[in-house]
Amino acid sequence: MRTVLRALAVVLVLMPWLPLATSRADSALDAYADQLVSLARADQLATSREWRVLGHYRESALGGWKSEVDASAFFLATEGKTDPAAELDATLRAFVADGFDLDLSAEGGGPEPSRCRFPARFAWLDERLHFDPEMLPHAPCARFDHWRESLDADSATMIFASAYGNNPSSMFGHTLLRLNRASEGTSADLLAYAVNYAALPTTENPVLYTILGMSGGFPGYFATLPYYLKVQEYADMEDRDLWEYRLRFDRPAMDRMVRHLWELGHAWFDYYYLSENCSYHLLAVLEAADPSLHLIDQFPDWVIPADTVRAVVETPGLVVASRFRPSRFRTMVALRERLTPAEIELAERLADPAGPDVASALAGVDPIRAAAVLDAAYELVRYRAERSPMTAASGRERQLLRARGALGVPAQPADVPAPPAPEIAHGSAAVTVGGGSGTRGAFGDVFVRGALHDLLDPTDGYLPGTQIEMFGFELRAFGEEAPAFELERAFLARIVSLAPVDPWVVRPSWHLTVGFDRVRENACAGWDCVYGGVAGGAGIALGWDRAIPGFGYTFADLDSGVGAPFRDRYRLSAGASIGTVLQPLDPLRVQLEAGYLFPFLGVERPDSISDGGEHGVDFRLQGGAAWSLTHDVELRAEALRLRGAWESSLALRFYL
Amino acid sequence: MKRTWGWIAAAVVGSAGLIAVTALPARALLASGCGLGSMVIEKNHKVGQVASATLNGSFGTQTFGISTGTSGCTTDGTLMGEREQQAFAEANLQNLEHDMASGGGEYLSAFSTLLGCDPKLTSQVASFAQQNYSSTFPTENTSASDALASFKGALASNDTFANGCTKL
Repeated sequence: MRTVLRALAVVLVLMPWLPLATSRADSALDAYADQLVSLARADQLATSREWRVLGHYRESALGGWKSEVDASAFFLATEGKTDPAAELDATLRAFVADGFDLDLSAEGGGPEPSRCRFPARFAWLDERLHFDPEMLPHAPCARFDHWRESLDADSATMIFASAYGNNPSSMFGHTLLRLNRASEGTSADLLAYAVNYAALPTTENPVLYTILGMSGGFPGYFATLPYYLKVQEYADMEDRDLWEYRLRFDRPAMDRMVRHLWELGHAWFDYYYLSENCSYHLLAVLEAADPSLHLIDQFPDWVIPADTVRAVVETPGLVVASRFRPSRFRTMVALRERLTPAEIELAERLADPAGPDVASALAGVDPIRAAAVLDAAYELVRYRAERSPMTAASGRERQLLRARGALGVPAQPADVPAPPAPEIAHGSAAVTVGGGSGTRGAFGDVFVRGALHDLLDPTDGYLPGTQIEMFGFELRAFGEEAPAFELERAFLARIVSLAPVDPWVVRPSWHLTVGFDRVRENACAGWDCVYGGVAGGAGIALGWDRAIPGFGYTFADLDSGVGAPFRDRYRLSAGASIGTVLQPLDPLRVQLEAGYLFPFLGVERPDSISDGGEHGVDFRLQGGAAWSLTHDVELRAEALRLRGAWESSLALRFYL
Repeated sequence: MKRTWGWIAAAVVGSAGLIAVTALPARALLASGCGLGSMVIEKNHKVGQVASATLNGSFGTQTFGISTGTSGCTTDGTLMGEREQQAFAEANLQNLEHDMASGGGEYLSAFSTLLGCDPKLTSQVASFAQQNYSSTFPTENTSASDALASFKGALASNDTFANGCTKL
């Protein structure tokens, strides 16, 4: 009895102290966390480049720092998005608090411990603060480790998908990253993982899709997927060439990159097509691998993927090798080049699903040549099958392959010549300054264009016969008149797509302009002559390589205008145009165009029509010549003749 | 600032009717196997020039998002080891088939690696594939899974490959 009472007494006395004993362990951890936090403050880690890179912090307009990451799961502090110091403190405290927790997240056994959710932060903070392994052990992270092992990333390659025919906006390009494994060779490349940043659209409505995609309405995520899926998407389905730039990242840099990619797995960013797009965030990943790289700083406003390729290639020592991977279309054309005209015809017949029996059509043909014919025919059927479900369903491809297999001739891959590389392309923005003379007298002219390329700009690195200009305006000042500067024209977009007719690929050519222009007849001056509208046309183009390389084209056109110069405030015209773009010498490009537009709805105001008639008839004759003086400077001469006006000018264009 | 630019651009683009409106790419649902064969999107080339080019509406962002957990053949965005062969065969059926009929090519070499074959055997695997093309793809409707199974079976019954390829 007494023993029991004594035991009870001991328990009663000790009881209040027991919680204290466990909380003493807690308070030891708290004290350690406090210690780490003060060390971090003393070293000013929160203001360091590495921390800013890991948090994707940028200087905000009001002088503070703001992270571009928009997912709250990326931050451990409530104000983490705008307070890097608070985020760092919260990160250290979180690491200490769950430092001993096991990572059971893979089996669905709870959330990842913070050291496993943020391995890059952990590794860097450990490096700088030397964590005490008794207080903050390097406990394993099962899920992250498994992922990291699957990737097996030994080096990285930046991939650029260039433009494809009849899609001028594809000239802006797309970039992704490939995490190469240790083994070499293109087949090893296919099996490697690619890192891609893309928007996840939440709507299929095309108008909303465009609007939301431009204004941050969709979230953007990082994904790692087998490179072969991307090759299929870009090179096969979209006919885009892929340029591969191997980057100089050693093992420690790759470790940093892979750890940070895992951190980004929990993150998303508001996707802005013009600025925070695929290429922009990819640069952030490169900076995470090597914080001494300053790539994003070079892009304060909008980001064009092709420009980011230039930035990477021009960073000394960053790119160690480059490789060209042709699109399916280019391969098809190269295979066709190997054939004689008779063989081309045979290939076309073989490619026709309703064509002859393959084996009998090839009877008597030398096996090596038969193989070459089959290779080309197969590509042609595949090309057509991508675009026509009926062809796809015919099973013709397999019939051709059966014949190919039976021949027993080993593979004869096409030798596809690489076009000029994207990094040698002229700068994406341009400013043109010049002057000239016309019906209204002498004038000075300034034309500013945000992007990208017109038919007279140097073609290297761009798709021949393709023009896409966005966000441009032109101001003109006339010597003997006031006001000082007048809006000559402004546009949202001016697009031309010349798709030369090819025996195997027939596509229409087209053009589209959205913007403001002015009526020039009768020396019209002032704002009353400006109108806005949409103009476009469709037609065909021919291309030729011999003698003077170039294109010839003709369009049926439609022109709509709304504004003060029209009696009823609108005018709709229809007509046609014909033109040619030539490159007589390497640095010289010439364009000539003639057009005719007949207004069928709405007329110009009588006082602005020069011939006094009811309906103005618009003849147009224009020419331009451009000479590349240097890589970034071009000399342009232009002339325009309308029914009631003319002008000619000379200018210098500077590419930025 | 970015948002303002975005809104201005979006408003102008949207109201200018720049978009040629036709069907948006149809995103196929996961079918059997890894579903990668049916993930081939039918892209309509006339879809909004400005819209489609680089929103990169994600061929695979949902299936392959990093740390998205396990689904189908992927874990956190990477393929599960034992499903790699199936996934590759499904996604690259046409290219693989072409390489087999031609007796060589990078898809066949990659496939050889996935089968665990010694790199020195690659060209032999290629010739073997060409000789066996008709039995690997006997009909117009032979699927990736069928082709994969019969090719692996053929390799396994050949001594050289049974010994030289570890993942048959």
